[in-house]
Amino acid sequence: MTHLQPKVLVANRGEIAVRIFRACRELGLPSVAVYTDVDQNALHLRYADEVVPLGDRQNYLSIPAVMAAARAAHAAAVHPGYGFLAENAAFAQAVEDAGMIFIGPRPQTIALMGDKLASRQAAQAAGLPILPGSDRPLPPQVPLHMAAQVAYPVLVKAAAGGGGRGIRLVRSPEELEPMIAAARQEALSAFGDDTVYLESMVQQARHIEVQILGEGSGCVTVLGERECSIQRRRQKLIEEAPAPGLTPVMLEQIHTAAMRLGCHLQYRGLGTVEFLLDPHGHFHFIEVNPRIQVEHPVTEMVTGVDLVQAQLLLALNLGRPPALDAFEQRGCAIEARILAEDPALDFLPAVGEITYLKEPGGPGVRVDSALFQGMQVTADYDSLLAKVIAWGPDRPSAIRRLRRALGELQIGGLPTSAGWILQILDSPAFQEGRVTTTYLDSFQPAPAEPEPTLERELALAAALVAHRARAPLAAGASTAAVGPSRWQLAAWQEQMSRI
Amino acid sequence: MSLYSVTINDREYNVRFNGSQAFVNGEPVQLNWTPLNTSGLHLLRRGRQAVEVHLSQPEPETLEFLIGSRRLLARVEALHQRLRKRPAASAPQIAAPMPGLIVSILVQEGDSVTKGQTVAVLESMKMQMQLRAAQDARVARVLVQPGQQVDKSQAILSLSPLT
Repeated sequence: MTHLQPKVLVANRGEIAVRIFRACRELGLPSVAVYTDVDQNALHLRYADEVVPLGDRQNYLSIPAVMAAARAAHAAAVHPGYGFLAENAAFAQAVEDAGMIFIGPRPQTIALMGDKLASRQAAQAAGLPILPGSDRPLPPQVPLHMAAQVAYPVLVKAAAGGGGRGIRLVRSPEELEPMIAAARQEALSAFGDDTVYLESMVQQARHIEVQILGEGSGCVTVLGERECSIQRRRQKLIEEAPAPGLTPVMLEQIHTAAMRLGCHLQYRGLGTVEFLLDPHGHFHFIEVNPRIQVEHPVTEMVTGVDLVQAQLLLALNLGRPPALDAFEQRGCAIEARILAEDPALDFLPAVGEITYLKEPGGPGVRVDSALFQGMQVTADYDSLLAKVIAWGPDRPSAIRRLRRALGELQIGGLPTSAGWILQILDSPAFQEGRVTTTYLDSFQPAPAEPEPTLERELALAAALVAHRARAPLAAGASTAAVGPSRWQLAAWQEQMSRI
Repeated sequence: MSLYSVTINDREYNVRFNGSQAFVNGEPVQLNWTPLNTSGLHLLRRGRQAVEVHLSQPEPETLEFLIGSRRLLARVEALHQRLRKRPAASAPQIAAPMPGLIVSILVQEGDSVTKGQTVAVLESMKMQMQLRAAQDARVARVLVQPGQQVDKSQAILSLSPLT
């Protein structure tokens, strides 16, 4: 039986690769990991049944390299994860052309959703509320009658952008022409396409997104919504399900809108329909992410549906996951992204060795990471170290549980964003569920509370380490090397007995 | 008698060992501190509290304490060493804080820069960061080019004092 199961290659690394391999193992599917030269010791390799090298560190982005690996491993299917090639229609097409199953939407859907202007038109055709905007690519010279209609502030968006990239804010008519030119330039160099369009900016907006799962035939399941308003530089930091404080009418509207778009597209696989919610309670379509998302665990924890298993089962035609017909949303789940960065140094990304690691556990806590003690965090890939997710029967208990879990998380060797996340969780605006996407712009990390008695004790411990390292030399000992190994068990106890 | 200076969170503590006693800033301090294994895990007992602390030494004069999710760095100096040490007489420079790709260099040799001015943009881990001058100075030499990969601490510009 087992030998007939299709083999799944995961074209990704890090925590999402580990996440997908776990689902493969639970389903009894053989799996293949790929890795670049700098990832030879990466954790995700150890969760797969086979590993295939890709070569250069850039090659998670190389369609020929990944396809060669898939052919070499005789993979039957490819899961792209998120990032890298996940939203690359040419990659999805190459997988299908090679006779393999792409675990994701159809290549045409990916191409359509990748063109932000086209996806806006598709949403409009499906009857979703879209923001006022230019509806067409901007001509090289914006006609006067058009410029006169623009309401400020307005965003210039790259059609090939998305995920918060390729966006410029224009505050006044004088800025319009130069900002369009700058946005074109940026879009050309970042995406190889200088098509831009205008879209109204919603001020004081909340980011609400709806999880859909389509079966490719028009049947779409809505798995609730998430709120991801806590963002820095348009990148999400804290996500939760459900979105707090939405009325049943608003929930009905936003879920129905997502389902309408999914049906309109005959959507296949997992996707997220993203909306902005304005202060008047109106929501506006922004984009579709045609893939698994970083924040998917919060939906899994409140619905009990394993989204990655559902992706695999549907794509590989192994049967419809029974949970899809019987799930009920329960409680609240919140995810914190732990990044390798230093909040005290303007969030400078950090690199180095993970010298110690202890991940939290206990009731209602989940950690998705690809960390191990001794691992080198490098500048080659993004700075996400771990995701800590907490579930509670209601939102306040989920917040308390996430605080408790983050208090248990120990990562040595690098500064992380964990302490800063704790401060956001403690802020009244977050606790009351009234944050917008610009909340962090004015939120400054508070300096750590001084703890003089603890610091005095640690200072003494630190001095003892130095003292112990020097003592053998002072005493004329010639054999022993001086170093960390010396401040270990026996030496310490000897020292301690004297103090 | 041995004297150490320990800096934690920008606060300096003077630690003196005198026979079997330890003093921090002149006051006797008791420490109930037990190693739990040989890889840095310790138990710190403080009254009725039992606190887990992980200790490591990332650099010769720096110790890292992990206490729950808090991470504290302690710089330790033996005081007689400090008296002998002279400040390094290296030329001031602006170096890459981490490995990355130079996106742009915003100044030229001979330019004068003011403290806080952005002089170069470095891209690392998909993020762009602005490298700023730490003091008013003149750009003596530009040592890298846009598009170039740099290592951590690699010099990007060398500076000379304004005359």
